[in-house]
Amino acid sequence: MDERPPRGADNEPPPFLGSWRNLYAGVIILLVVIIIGVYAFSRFFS
Amino acid sequence: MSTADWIVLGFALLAMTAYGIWRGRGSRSVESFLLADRSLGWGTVALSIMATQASAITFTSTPGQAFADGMRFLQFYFGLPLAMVILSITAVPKFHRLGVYSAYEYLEHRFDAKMRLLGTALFLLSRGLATGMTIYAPSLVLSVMLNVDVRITSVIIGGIVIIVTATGGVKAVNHTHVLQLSIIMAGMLAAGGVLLALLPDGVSVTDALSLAGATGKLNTIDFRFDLENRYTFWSGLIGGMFVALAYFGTDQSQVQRYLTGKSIAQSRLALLFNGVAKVPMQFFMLLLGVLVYVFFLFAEPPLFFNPAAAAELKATEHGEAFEALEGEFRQAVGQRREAAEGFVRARHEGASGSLSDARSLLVSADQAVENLRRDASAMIGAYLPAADSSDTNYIFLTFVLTYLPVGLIGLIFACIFAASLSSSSGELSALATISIIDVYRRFVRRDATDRHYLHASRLFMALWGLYGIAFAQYASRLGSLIEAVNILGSLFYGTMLGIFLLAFYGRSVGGTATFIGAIAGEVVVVTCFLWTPIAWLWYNVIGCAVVVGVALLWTVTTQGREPSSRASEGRI
Repeated sequence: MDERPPRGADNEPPPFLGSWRNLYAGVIILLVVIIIGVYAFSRFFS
Repeated sequence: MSTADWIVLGFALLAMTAYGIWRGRGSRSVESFLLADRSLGWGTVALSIMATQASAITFTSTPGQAFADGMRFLQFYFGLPLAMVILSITAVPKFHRLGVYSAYEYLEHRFDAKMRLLGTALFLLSRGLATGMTIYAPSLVLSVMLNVDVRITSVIIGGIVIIVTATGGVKAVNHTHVLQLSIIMAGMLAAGGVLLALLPDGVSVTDALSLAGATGKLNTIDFRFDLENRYTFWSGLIGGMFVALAYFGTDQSQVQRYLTGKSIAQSRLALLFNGVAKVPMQFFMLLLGVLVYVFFLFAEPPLFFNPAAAAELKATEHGEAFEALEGEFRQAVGQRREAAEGFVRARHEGASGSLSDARSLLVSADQAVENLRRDASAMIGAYLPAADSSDTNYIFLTFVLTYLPVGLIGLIFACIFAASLSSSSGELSALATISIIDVYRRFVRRDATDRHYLHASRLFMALWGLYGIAFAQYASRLGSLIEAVNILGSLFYGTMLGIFLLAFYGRSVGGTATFIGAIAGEVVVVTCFLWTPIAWLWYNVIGCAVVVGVALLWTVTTQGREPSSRASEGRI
């Protein structure tokens, strides 16, 4: 099977944060924030 | 359940069926039927991804697990956002550019027909067996709680799934997933609100969380590195990432969801949304279970939450011993209630010495209750071999049926049915796609018309649904085989991930080397399972590493004797 013309080109930017690299970094930063938040939450009530 | 609850439940089931048929109308080609013409926006795809992974058992057992074991299960999801980023960079553009229908079709592009066949066989074996369980497990829980025959609940779940998938295809499945997830979220939020309202007078939300913290239920993160401990920060981050990579990158029930995205960007956004939303969603589900635990510090829980198993044991010669245990349990629960009240009073008074004493009292009273629950579970396991000795699936539903207001009970049971329908329909559509694209069209009938394949796709959807229902009808007679079936399905993910990693990145590695690596990986995983105490989350890491290592070794030692990849593959 031949490759199809991509329906969405690789360089189509995401709707937020300007670039895919920024969006990926944003997801990872958010994960770190969530982990710190969850840790603080459990420490506070323990 | 009251008539009002049955009406709510019946209306929700009818609405899901009708909405699925309506949204799935107009599927007149195979691409439309199996991939919704690759036309969906990221919001629909994202919710469909989340609905497929959230089975009914997820919603019944997650709060139950937090009730029994605290919130440490949350760590399992820490690797998921990382996996979503990796798959957005690798799998999504590769699958989209080739316009494949299935993940295993990609393997033939990259390697050869035998690798496609291997991937297809592993998927059909693991997911095919699991799909029977996806219908049976919630059917059993619902049948016990609603006091309806398991054959009826499984026919309702399986019947609706067949109607929606066979008439509307994947478009119907994905759109229905949005409705189903909305019902699930609404129900769970309502349950959380009612739980907070049901806390006794004088017990605030912070009191409730402090009670949970004092008894170790908020044990969210454990930084120790321990290969035998199932849920630690490291097993969740590393092992969990590998599980998520394998599930979202190689399991057709998920790959098919994001192949319906109308562009690479839309599919990526859907995966990333899942990565961002999953951990908070699981946190909330587990917190719900913790609040149910706190609620039962002040109310009397049953000794064993599965009422059918408890009643069955009472009817045997061991019934008296079980009832004696119930008497002890009632006493222990009373002492724990007093300790919990003492802890709250000490908190309000603010004297650190008395708070520390109150905490010690509460912990030892709670331990006494837990020990009696363990004894009951051991009795069930010893004297009723066919029954499940764990009651975690029944804890949340027992609370729902006993304490929630009329109407909301129906909504929560609608949630459980919705979750069951969403995961079953995702799996069913994936199984049908693999059956038609990777088996029937590839190896049985290669030159038929699109219309022929469309009819065949509908037929395969219905056949897999009927298989799921049939499995559920006879599952209760399979006994411990059920557990074996469940375990079997979880042993292939590491191997599959290794195969796809080589496909994406191992440019010099060919089909034969990957095939040999896959066999070696599977042998090592089965060995780990049978003869080592290593926790299962690490199987995926080990299996994947062995596949990659052996394939690379084979490639190096046989360099030049095997083509590394298909001619077209250099461009992928």
